[in-house]
Amino acid sequence: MSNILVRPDFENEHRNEALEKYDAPRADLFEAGRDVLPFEMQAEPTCLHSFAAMSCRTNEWASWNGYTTPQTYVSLASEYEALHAQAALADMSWLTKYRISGPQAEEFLQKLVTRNVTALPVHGAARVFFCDMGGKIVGEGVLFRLEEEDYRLTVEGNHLDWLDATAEGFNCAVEDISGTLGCIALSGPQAASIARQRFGDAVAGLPAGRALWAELHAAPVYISRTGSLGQEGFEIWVDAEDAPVIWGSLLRHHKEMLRPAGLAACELRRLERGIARFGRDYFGAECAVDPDAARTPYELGAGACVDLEKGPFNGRAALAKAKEKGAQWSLVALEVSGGEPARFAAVYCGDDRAGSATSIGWSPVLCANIALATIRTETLAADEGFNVHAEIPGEVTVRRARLPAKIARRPLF
Amino acid sequence: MMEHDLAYDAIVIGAGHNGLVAAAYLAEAGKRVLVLEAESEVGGAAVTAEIAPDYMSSAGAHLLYAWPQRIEKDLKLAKHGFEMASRDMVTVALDKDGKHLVLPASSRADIARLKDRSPRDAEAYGPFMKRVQRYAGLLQPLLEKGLPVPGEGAKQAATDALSFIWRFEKMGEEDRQELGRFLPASMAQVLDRTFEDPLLKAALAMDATLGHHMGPKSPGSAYQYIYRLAQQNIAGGKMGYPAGGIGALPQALARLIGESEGRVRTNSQVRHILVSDSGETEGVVLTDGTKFHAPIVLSSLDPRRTYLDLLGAAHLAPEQTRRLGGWRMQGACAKINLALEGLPIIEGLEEREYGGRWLIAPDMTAMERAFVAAKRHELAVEPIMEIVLPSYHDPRAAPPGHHTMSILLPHVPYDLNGGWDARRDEFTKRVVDAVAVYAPDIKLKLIAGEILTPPEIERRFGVPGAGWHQGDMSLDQTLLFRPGYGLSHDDGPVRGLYLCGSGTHPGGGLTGEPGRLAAAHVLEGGRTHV
Repeated sequence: MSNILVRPDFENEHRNEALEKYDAPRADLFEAGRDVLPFEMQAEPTCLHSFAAMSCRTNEWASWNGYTTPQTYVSLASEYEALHAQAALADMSWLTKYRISGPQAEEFLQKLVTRNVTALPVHGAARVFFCDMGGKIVGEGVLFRLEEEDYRLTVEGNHLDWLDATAEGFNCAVEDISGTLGCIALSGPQAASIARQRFGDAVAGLPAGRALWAELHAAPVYISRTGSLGQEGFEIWVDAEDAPVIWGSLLRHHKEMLRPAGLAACELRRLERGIARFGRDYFGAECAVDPDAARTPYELGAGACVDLEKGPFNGRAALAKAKEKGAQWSLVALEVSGGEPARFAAVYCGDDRAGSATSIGWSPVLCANIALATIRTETLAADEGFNVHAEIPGEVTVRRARLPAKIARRPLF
Repeated sequence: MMEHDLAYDAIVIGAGHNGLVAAAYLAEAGKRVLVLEAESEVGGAAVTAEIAPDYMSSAGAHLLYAWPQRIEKDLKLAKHGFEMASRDMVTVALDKDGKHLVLPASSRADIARLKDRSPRDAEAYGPFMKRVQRYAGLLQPLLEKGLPVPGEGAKQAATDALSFIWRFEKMGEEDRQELGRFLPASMAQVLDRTFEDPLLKAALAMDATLGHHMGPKSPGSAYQYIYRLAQQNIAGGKMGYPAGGIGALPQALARLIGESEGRVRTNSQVRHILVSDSGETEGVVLTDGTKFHAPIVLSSLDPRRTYLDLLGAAHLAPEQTRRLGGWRMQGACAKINLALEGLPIIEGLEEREYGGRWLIAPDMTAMERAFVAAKRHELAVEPIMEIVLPSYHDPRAAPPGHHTMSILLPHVPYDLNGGWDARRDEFTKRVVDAVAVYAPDIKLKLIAGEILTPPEIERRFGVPGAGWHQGDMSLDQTLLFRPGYGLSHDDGPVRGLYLCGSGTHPGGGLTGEPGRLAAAHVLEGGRTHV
C-alpha cells in the first residue's frame, strides 16, 4: 500500500527504450510520464490541499515541483473549456517563492538575473532568467517588486543555493518563503469581470505585469496581472492560512462561470499559448545531467529578457558571445497533421534528425496534435518539411506513422 | 603626493617572495611597478628576524628547497647583492642511536650508511628514486608554465596535452601501471612496499607531508612527494641557504625594484581593489584612503582574500564564490627559533652535516600520530621537526662561537584545545625536550628562544590557517584547479587582475614560480577574457 509510487513492472521493461534518447515517444501531458527518481518522490501537500481534494472528483493527482496538485478535478474537457471560454481557478501554491530584501537587494538581483531590474517599478512584475557562467539558464521565474528594497522571486525548482552563492558580498537577505504563501491563479476571458466583482475596479484595470494590495474577507491579498499560462488572468498571493478562504469564497460566489482547473488543463492551455516550461521543455544548467538539455534565453526565444548593456551580471560574457553566434537551438511550436491524438518525440527534417518535441498534446480547439519542440536552428531554413515518428494508440493496437509537421506561430491559439 | 606617484603600470599587493618576484620581472621589463606591503618590512614569511639581540634567524621559512636558479639569473640577483651561502644542503634524518641517514644518498659514504642500516633498502633506493624522478619528470613541464584555459588557449592546450600523452606513453607499461597506483596512494603505502628501515621511510615521507594537512598515511600524500620533487627539479634539484638568511632574498628583490622605476611601499595595507564600470581593474585603495591607479593589479594574497575580501564577491560568478568558499587552507605549522651558546653536539654527526637540513621523525607511525593529534586539536607527544642552523651558513647570524637554530614544526593544530596562550610554554618545553633526545647539551646552551604559534604565523605573515601554501596542495587544488576555473591569472572575473601568490599555479613553497608566471602572463598581454 505504501509503495504506490513504485512504477508497475511493465513500465520498467520499457525503460531501456526510454534511454534511447531519441525514439521513445513522449507521454502526453495528461499522464505522469516522467520517470521519478527515488529522492524526488517525496511530495508535500499545498496549503489548498484539503480544499482542492474536496473538489477533486477524479482523485487524480500530479506531483509537480515537490507538491501534489490535482491533475483533473472533474474532467479535462470541462476545465479546458472553462479556461477557454469562462474562467478557472488553479492552485499554484506549489511555486517556489523567495523573498529578497535589504539595502542591496536591487544590486544583487541586477547581478543575478539577465533583465534590467532597475526598470522594474514598485508593484511591478517581470519574467526573469538567471544564468550560469556559460550563459545557460539555471532557473526562470517571475520577479515582483513589492517595495523599494523588497522583492519576491517565484520559480520552479530549488535555487536557494545558487541565490546564496550569488548574494555573497551583498547586503541583502534571501529567504525561502514557499510554505508561507499561497498562490491562486484566476485565468480565462471572464477573469477580469470576476476580479472586478470581488476586488473592485482597480484590480480589473490593472495593466499586465502590475500588482496591487486588496482585501477579501479581512485577509490581505496581493493581486498581480500575471500568469504562467500566457493568457488573460490574475494571480492572487495570499497567506497560506487565508488561501482556503479566498479559494472557497471565489468558487462559491462565481459558481456559474468559475471552476477549478487541474494541472492537465493548465498544461494544455500553456501548450496552446506556446510557453516553454522549466523542467519540461528544458532543464536548469545545475540539474541537467546532459548539458545539451540546458538552454540560453536566446534559444528559448526570450532574448528580450536579456539586457547586455545593463552592467555586469552572471553569464554576461557568455551570453554576449551566444548572441553574436546565434542560437544553436530554437524552441518552436509544431502542429502535426493527423486527425487523432498521437505520441511522438523525435522531430525530423526530411530524413535527418532535427530535434525533440518536449511537450505534446491534442488540442481540441485546433483539432490537431500540437507540440513544443527544440530543433536545430539551421533546419529552420531548410526546404524540406518536418515530420515526426508518431505512435497512435488505438483501442488495442498501436499504429506507427510518420506524420508531417509544420512550424506554427506562437501562440497557437 | 604628486600625480606621478599615484599612477603606475602595475600594482603588486603583498611583498612576499612571490609578489616581489612578479614585481621584479615587471620592473626588469621596464614597467613602473608599485609593491604595497601591509607590514613594516618586505618578505612576508621569508624574513630574517632577531631572536635576541645579535641572534638572527629566519622567522618563517628557513631554507630554499626549490628556489629556481633561473629566477636568479633572469633577474641578475647577484648584481643586487644576493648570494647563496650554501647551494648543496643535504637532508640528515637524525637517529637516536647516532646512525644518521644522509639523503639524497648519492655519495659512496652515504650509501654505505644506508647499507649499514638495511642492505635491502640500499639496493632498493636507487631504482625507487629513478622511478619517482620519472614521475616527477612527467609533471615537471606542467609546473614550468601557465596552464591553458579552455577557450582561447585551446590550441596550446591541445599541444600540451599531446606532449603529456606522448611522455606518458613513452614511460613504458610497467611505469604507467605503477603511476596509476602511485598517484592516489598514501606515501606510507608506497614506502612500505619498497623499504624496511623506519628512519628512511620517515625521511622520505617528510617531503610528502611537510606543510600539508596530511599524514604519511593520508591518501594522496604520494602525489605531494612527486609534486615537491618536480618543484625541486625545476629549481636545479639542490637545497640552499642564502647569505644573510632567508630575508636577504626579498631584500635583494626589493632593491632591484627600487633601482628600477618601481617602488616598494611598506605599511600600506590594501583595503580593496578598484574596478571600473566596464569590469576592469583600475587600482587599489589603502586602509588610510590613499588611492593608487594602475590598469594591472597582481595580488600575492591567497585566492580567498584576494577575491572575496579585496575584490568582493559581487564581482564573482556564483560558481566561483562556491569554489572559493570550499578552498582549504589547513596545513598549519609552528615555528620555534632558539639562540644557543655554542654548537649543539649530536653524536655521530659529521662536520658538514651540521649544515644540513635535519629531520626529527623517527618513523612514519610517529608522524601519523602527530598528524592525528593535530586533527584532534592536540599537541603531538613526539613532535615532528625540520631543523636548520642559520648561523652555520651565515656567521653574522650569531656572535662568534654562538649559534641559532630554526625549528619548523608541521602537524601543529591551529585551534589548540585549551588555547595557545595557556599552552605555548608547554609546547616549547616539549619541543626542546624532544631535540634534547638527539642533542643532550642543548638545554645547557640555550640562551633565548621564541615561538610562533599557528595563530601568530597567520597574523604575522598573513597566511590564513597558518599553512604557507595559501591552500592545500591536494590533487583537487593543484594544476588547473589552483584555484579554479576562471579564477587564476588573467582568466579571472575582472580583467587586469592577476593572482601571483602561492595560491595559484604552480603552488606553494619558496619557489617564486607563481610570481614569475603571473609576470609572464602580464607581459604577454594576458589572455583574452573568456
